[in-house]
Amino acid sequence: MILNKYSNYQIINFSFLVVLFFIVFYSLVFSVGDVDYPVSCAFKSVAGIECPSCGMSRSFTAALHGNFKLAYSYNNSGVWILVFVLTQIVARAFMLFIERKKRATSLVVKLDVTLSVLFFIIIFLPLILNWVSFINRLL
Amino acid sequence: MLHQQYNTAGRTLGILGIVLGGIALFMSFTCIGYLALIPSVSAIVLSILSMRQAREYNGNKNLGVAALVISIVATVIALIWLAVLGSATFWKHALENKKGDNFKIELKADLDDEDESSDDDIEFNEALKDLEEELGDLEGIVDSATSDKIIKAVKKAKKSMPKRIEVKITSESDSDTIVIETRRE
Repeated sequence: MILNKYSNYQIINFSFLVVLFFIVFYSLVFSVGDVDYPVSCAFKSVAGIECPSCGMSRSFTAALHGNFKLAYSYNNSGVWILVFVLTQIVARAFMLFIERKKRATSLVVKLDVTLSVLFFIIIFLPLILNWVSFINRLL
Repeated sequence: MLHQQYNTAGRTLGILGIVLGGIALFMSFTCIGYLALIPSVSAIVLSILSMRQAREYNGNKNLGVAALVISIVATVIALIWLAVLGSATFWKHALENKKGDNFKIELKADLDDEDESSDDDIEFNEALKDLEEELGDLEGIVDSATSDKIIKAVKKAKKSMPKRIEVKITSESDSDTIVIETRRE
Protein backbone atom coordinates (compact mmCIF):
# COMPACT_ATOMS: atom_id res chain seq x y z
CA MET A 1 0.00 0.00 0.00
CA ILE A 2 1.31 3.44 -0.95
CA LEU A 3 0.68 4.84 2.55
CA ASN A 4 3.17 2.36 4.02
CA LYS A 5 6.00 4.41 2.48
CA TYR A 6 5.17 7.26 4.85
CA SER A 7 5.23 7.48 8.63
CA ASN A 8 2.07 8.08 10.70
CA TYR A 9 3.34 11.54 11.54
CA GLN A 10 3.82 12.45 7.87
CA ILE A 11 0.33 11.31 6.94
CA ILE A 12 -1.29 13.17 9.86
CA ASN A 13 0.70 16.34 9.10
CA PHE A 14 -0.20 16.16 5.43
CA SER A 15 -3.91 15.58 6.17
CA PHE A 16 -4.07 18.56 8.55
CA LEU A 17 -2.20 20.67 6.01
CA VAL A 18 -4.87 19.90 3.40
CA VAL A 19 -7.67 20.76 5.86
CA LEU A 20 -5.97 24.03 6.90
CA PHE A 21 -5.41 25.01 3.27
CA PHE A 22 -9.08 24.34 2.60
CA ILE A 23 -10.06 26.74 5.42
CA VAL A 24 -7.85 29.49 3.96
CA PHE A 25 -9.07 28.78 0.42
CA TYR A 26 -12.72 28.85 1.57
CA SER A 27 -12.14 32.26 3.18
CA LEU A 28 -10.22 33.67 0.23
CA VAL A 29 -12.86 32.75 -2.36
CA PHE A 30 -15.31 35.32 -1.05
CA SER A 31 -14.97 39.08 -1.30
CA VAL A 32 -14.97 41.32 1.76
CA GLY A 33 -18.38 42.45 2.98
CA ASP A 34 -21.69 40.94 3.91
CA VAL A 35 -21.53 38.12 1.41
CA ASP A 36 -23.93 35.20 1.64
CA TYR A 37 -21.70 32.30 2.67
CA PRO A 38 -22.93 28.82 1.86
CA VAL A 39 -22.83 27.92 5.57
CA SER A 40 -25.21 29.97 7.69
CA CYS A 41 -25.43 30.00 11.47
CA ALA A 42 -27.82 27.38 12.79
CA PHE A 43 -28.37 29.36 15.96
CA LYS A 44 -29.32 32.53 14.12
CA SER A 45 -31.72 30.73 11.82
CA VAL A 46 -33.40 28.92 14.72
CA ALA A 47 -33.40 31.49 17.50
CA GLY A 48 -32.72 34.71 15.61
CA ILE A 49 -29.81 35.53 17.91
CA GLU A 50 -26.19 35.74 16.76
CA CYS A 51 -23.93 33.18 18.44
CA PRO A 52 -20.34 34.02 19.57
CA SER A 53 -18.96 32.25 16.47
CA CYS A 54 -21.04 34.36 14.06
CA GLY A 55 -18.99 36.44 11.66
CA MET A 56 -15.99 34.09 11.78
CA SER A 57 -15.97 33.41 8.01
CA ARG A 58 -16.43 37.12 7.23
CA SER A 59 -13.68 37.91 9.72
CA PHE A 60 -11.30 35.40 8.07
CA THR A 61 -12.07 36.84 4.63
CA ALA A 62 -11.55 40.43 5.75
CA ALA A 63 -8.29 39.57 7.55
CA LEU A 64 -6.94 37.62 4.58
CA HIS A 65 -7.67 40.67 2.42
CA GLY A 66 -5.71 42.81 4.89
CA ASN A 67 -8.68 44.59 6.47
CA PHE A 68 -7.96 43.74 10.11
CA LYS A 69 -10.16 46.43 11.63
CA LEU A 70 -13.19 45.14 9.74
CA ALA A 71 -12.19 41.56 10.57
CA TYR A 72 -12.13 42.42 14.27
CA SER A 73 -15.54 44.07 14.02
CA TYR A 74 -17.08 40.94 12.47
CA ASN A 75 -15.74 38.64 15.20
CA ASN A 76 -13.10 39.61 17.74
CA SER A 77 -11.76 36.03 17.95
CA GLY A 78 -11.63 35.60 14.17
CA VAL A 79 -8.28 37.28 13.58
CA TRP A 80 -6.59 35.22 16.31
CA ILE A 81 -8.05 31.96 15.07
CA LEU A 82 -6.81 32.84 11.58
CA VAL A 83 -3.36 33.43 13.11
CA PHE A 84 -3.62 29.93 14.61
CA VAL A 85 -4.59 28.45 11.23
CA LEU A 86 -1.73 30.19 9.39
CA THR A 87 0.78 29.25 12.10
CA GLN A 88 -0.35 25.65 11.90
CA ILE A 89 0.09 25.65 8.10
CA VAL A 90 3.70 26.75 8.58
CA ALA A 91 4.21 24.25 11.43
CA ARG A 92 2.74 21.30 9.51
CA ALA A 93 4.77 22.13 6.39
CA PHE A 94 7.94 22.51 8.50
CA MET A 95 7.33 19.22 10.33
CA LEU A 96 6.74 17.46 7.00
CA PHE A 97 10.09 18.79 5.84
CA ILE A 98 11.80 17.72 9.09
CA GLU A 99 10.29 14.24 8.87
CA ARG A 100 11.38 13.95 5.24
CA LYS A 101 14.92 14.66 6.37
CA LYS A 102 14.43 11.96 9.05
CA ARG A 103 15.05 14.43 11.84
CA ALA A 104 11.67 14.25 13.55
CA THR A 105 12.74 12.53 16.76
CA SER A 106 10.23 11.44 19.34
CA LEU A 107 11.10 14.52 21.39
CA VAL A 108 10.44 16.83 18.44
CA VAL A 109 7.05 15.20 17.84
CA LYS A 110 6.09 15.50 21.53
CA LEU A 111 7.21 19.14 21.54
CA ASP A 112 5.17 19.84 18.40
CA VAL A 113 2.03 18.23 19.86
CA THR A 114 2.41 20.00 23.23
CA LEU A 115 3.02 23.42 21.69
CA SER A 116 0.15 23.01 19.22
CA VAL A 117 -2.29 22.00 21.97
CA LEU A 118 -1.17 24.89 24.20
CA PHE A 119 -1.43 27.36 21.33
CA PHE A 120 -4.89 26.01 20.50
CA ILE A 121 -6.08 26.53 24.09
CA ILE A 122 -4.63 30.07 24.31
CA ILE A 123 -6.14 31.14 20.98
CA PHE A 124 -9.55 29.55 21.50
CA LEU A 125 -9.91 30.57 25.17
CA PRO A 126 -11.56 33.99 24.46
CA LEU A 127 -14.07 32.30 22.13
CA ILE A 128 -14.76 29.61 24.74
CA LEU A 129 -15.31 32.30 27.39
CA ASN A 130 -17.64 34.16 25.01
CA TRP A 131 -19.61 30.96 24.57
CA VAL A 132 -19.79 30.40 28.34
CA SER A 133 -21.13 33.92 28.98
CA PHE A 134 -23.53 33.55 26.02
CA ILE A 135 -24.93 30.30 27.46
CA ASN A 136 -25.21 31.92 30.91
CA ARG A 137 -27.16 34.83 29.45
CA LEU A 138 -29.41 32.45 27.56
CA LEU A 139 -30.19 30.34 30.60
CA MET B 1 13.76 9.57 13.26
CA LEU B 2 10.64 7.83 14.52
CA HIS B 3 11.33 4.26 15.56
CA GLN B 4 8.38 1.97 15.01
CA GLN B 5 8.56 -1.09 17.21
CA TYR B 6 5.11 -2.38 16.30
CA ASN B 7 3.45 -3.64 13.13
CA THR B 8 0.92 -1.47 11.27
CA ALA B 9 -2.25 -3.01 12.73
CA GLY B 10 -4.82 -0.32 13.43
CA ARG B 11 -2.62 2.35 11.85
CA THR B 12 -4.92 3.54 9.06
CA LEU B 13 -7.96 3.65 11.32
CA GLY B 14 -6.00 5.53 13.99
CA ILE B 15 -4.78 8.14 11.51
CA LEU B 16 -8.30 8.58 10.13
CA GLY B 17 -9.58 8.94 13.69
CA ILE B 18 -7.05 11.67 14.52
CA VAL B 19 -7.76 13.63 11.32
CA LEU B 20 -11.55 13.35 11.70
CA GLY B 21 -11.25 14.23 15.40
CA GLY B 22 -9.18 17.33 14.54
CA ILE B 23 -11.72 18.42 11.92
CA ALA B 24 -14.56 17.83 14.40
CA LEU B 25 -12.78 19.82 17.11
CA PHE B 26 -12.34 22.82 14.79
CA MET B 27 -15.92 22.48 13.50
CA SER B 28 -17.36 22.41 17.00
CA PHE B 29 -16.30 26.03 17.52
CA THR B 30 -18.03 27.30 14.37
CA CYS B 31 -21.63 28.31 13.65
CA ILE B 32 -22.43 24.72 12.67
CA GLY B 33 -20.89 23.19 15.79
CA TYR B 34 -23.64 20.60 16.18
CA LEU B 35 -22.65 19.10 12.80
CA ALA B 36 -19.27 18.24 14.34
CA LEU B 37 -21.09 15.29 15.91
CA ILE B 38 -20.86 13.48 12.56
CA PRO B 39 -17.05 13.44 12.25
CA SER B 40 -16.50 13.19 16.01
CA VAL B 41 -18.69 10.12 16.48
CA SER B 42 -17.11 8.57 13.37
CA ALA B 43 -13.68 9.30 14.88
CA ILE B 44 -14.68 7.62 18.16
CA VAL B 45 -15.77 4.50 16.28
CA LEU B 46 -12.59 4.48 14.17
CA SER B 47 -10.32 4.97 17.18
CA ILE B 48 -12.00 2.13 19.09
CA LEU B 49 -11.61 -0.13 16.03
CA SER B 50 -7.99 0.97 15.70
CA MET B 51 -7.24 0.12 19.33
CA ARG B 52 -8.97 -3.23 18.97
CA GLN B 53 -6.97 -4.11 15.85
CA ALA B 54 -3.75 -2.97 17.52
CA ARG B 55 -4.45 -5.12 20.56
CA GLU B 56 -5.28 -8.20 18.51
CA TYR B 57 -2.32 -7.97 16.13
CA ASN B 58 0.29 -6.37 18.41
CA GLY B 59 0.06 -2.95 16.77
CA ASN B 60 0.64 0.51 18.27
CA LYS B 61 -2.37 1.61 20.32
CA ASN B 62 -1.13 5.20 20.82
CA LEU B 63 -2.74 6.49 17.61
CA GLY B 64 -6.10 5.08 18.64
CA VAL B 65 -5.83 6.57 22.13
CA ALA B 66 -4.90 10.03 20.77
CA ALA B 67 -7.78 9.86 18.27
CA LEU B 68 -10.19 8.82 21.02
CA VAL B 69 -9.17 11.74 23.30
CA ILE B 70 -9.53 14.35 20.53
CA SER B 71 -12.84 12.96 19.31
CA ILE B 72 -14.34 12.73 22.82
CA VAL B 73 -13.46 16.41 23.45
CA ALA B 74 -15.03 17.35 20.08
CA THR B 75 -18.14 15.28 20.83
CA VAL B 76 -18.62 16.91 24.25
CA ILE B 77 -18.36 20.42 22.74
CA ALA B 78 -20.72 19.49 19.90
CA LEU B 79 -23.22 18.06 22.40
CA ILE B 80 -23.11 21.29 24.45
CA TRP B 81 -23.72 23.18 21.19
CA LEU B 82 -26.70 20.95 20.45
CA ALA B 83 -28.10 21.47 23.97
CA VAL B 84 -27.81 25.26 23.66
CA LEU B 85 -29.44 25.16 20.24
CA GLY B 86 -32.18 22.96 21.66
CA SER B 87 -32.89 25.35 24.53
CA ALA B 88 -32.95 28.31 22.11
CA THR B 89 -35.46 26.44 19.95
CA PHE B 90 -37.53 25.72 23.06
CA TRP B 91 -37.68 29.42 24.00
CA LYS B 92 -38.47 30.37 20.43
CA HIS B 93 -41.44 27.97 20.42
CA ALA B 94 -42.51 29.16 23.86
CA LEU B 95 -42.59 32.73 22.58
CA GLU B 96 -44.46 31.75 19.45
CA ASN B 97 -47.09 30.01 21.58
CA LYS B 98 -47.41 33.12 23.67
CA LYS B 99 -47.77 35.17 20.49
CA GLY B 100 -50.59 32.87 19.45
CA ASP B 101 -52.42 33.78 22.63
CA ASN B 102 -51.89 37.48 21.88
CA PHE B 103 -48.97 37.61 24.26
CA LYS B 104 -49.26 40.82 26.11
CA ILE B 105 -48.34 41.62 29.65
CA GLU B 106 -49.33 44.82 31.24
CA LEU B 107 -47.89 45.78 34.53
CA LYS B 108 -49.48 48.65 36.27
CA ALA B 109 -47.93 50.07 39.30
CA ASP B 110 -50.56 52.08 41.07
CA LEU B 111 -48.64 54.66 42.90
CA ASP B 112 -49.77 57.28 45.28
CA ASP B 113 -51.11 60.35 43.55
CA GLU B 114 -49.49 63.34 44.95
CA ASP B 115 -49.48 66.96 44.01
CA GLU B 116 -47.44 67.64 40.94
CA SER B 117 -44.45 69.85 41.46
CA SER B 118 -41.31 70.51 39.51
CA ASP B 119 -39.20 68.63 42.07
CA ASP B 120 -41.45 65.62 41.69
CA ASP B 121 -41.14 65.88 37.90
CA ILE B 122 -37.36 65.78 38.06
CA GLU B 123 -37.42 62.86 40.47
CA PHE B 124 -40.02 61.07 38.38
CA ASN B 125 -38.13 61.57 35.13
CA GLU B 126 -34.88 60.34 36.67
CA ALA B 127 -36.55 57.26 38.09
CA LEU B 128 -38.32 56.68 34.78
CA LYS B 129 -35.02 56.96 32.93
CA ASP B 130 -33.39 54.43 35.27
CA LEU B 131 -36.31 52.08 34.83
CA GLU B 132 -36.23 52.42 31.06
CA GLU B 133 -32.50 51.64 31.01
CA GLU B 134 -33.03 48.62 33.19
CA LEU B 135 -35.93 47.37 31.10
CA GLY B 136 -34.02 48.14 27.92
CA ASP B 137 -31.42 45.57 28.98
CA LEU B 138 -34.15 42.98 29.28
CA GLU B 139 -35.49 43.57 25.78
CA GLY B 140 -34.81 40.70 23.45
CA ILE B 141 -34.36 38.15 26.22
CA VAL B 142 -37.47 36.08 26.48
CA ASP B 143 -37.42 33.53 29.26
CA SER B 144 -39.24 32.72 32.45
CA ALA B 145 -36.94 34.94 34.48
CA THR B 146 -37.68 38.01 32.35
CA SER B 147 -41.07 38.83 33.86
CA ASP B 148 -39.64 38.41 37.38
CA LYS B 149 -36.83 40.81 36.49
CA ILE B 150 -39.32 43.33 35.08
CA ILE B 151 -41.50 43.19 38.18
CA LYS B 152 -38.41 43.64 40.36
CA ALA B 153 -37.28 46.64 38.29
CA VAL B 154 -40.75 48.22 38.46
CA LYS B 155 -40.95 47.71 42.21
CA LYS B 156 -37.53 49.30 42.59
CA ALA B 157 -38.61 52.30 40.49
CA LYS B 158 -41.92 52.53 42.34
CA LYS B 159 -40.13 53.57 45.51
CA SER B 160 -38.84 56.74 43.89
CA MET B 161 -41.92 57.56 41.84
CA PRO B 162 -44.60 59.50 43.59
CA LYS B 163 -46.93 59.23 40.63
CA ARG B 164 -48.47 56.56 38.48
CA ILE B 165 -46.51 54.63 35.93
CA GLU B 166 -47.59 52.09 33.36
CA VAL B 167 -45.22 49.48 31.97
CA LYS B 168 -46.38 47.79 28.81
CA ILE B 169 -44.69 44.70 27.41
CA THR B 170 -45.69 43.52 23.96
CA SER B 171 -44.18 41.09 21.51
CA GLU B 172 -43.46 42.11 17.96
CA SER B 173 -45.41 40.04 15.48
CA ASP B 174 -42.54 38.93 13.27
CA SER B 175 -39.62 38.64 15.68
CA ASP B 176 -38.75 36.98 18.94
CA THR B 177 -38.03 40.21 20.77
CA ILE B 178 -40.31 41.87 23.25
CA VAL B 179 -40.80 45.60 23.47
CA ILE B 180 -41.03 47.24 26.84
CA GLU B 181 -42.60 50.67 27.06
CA THR B 182 -42.96 52.83 30.12
CA ARG B 183 -45.21 55.83 30.29
CA ARG B 184 -46.62 58.18 32.81
CA GLU B 185 -50.33 57.90 33.36
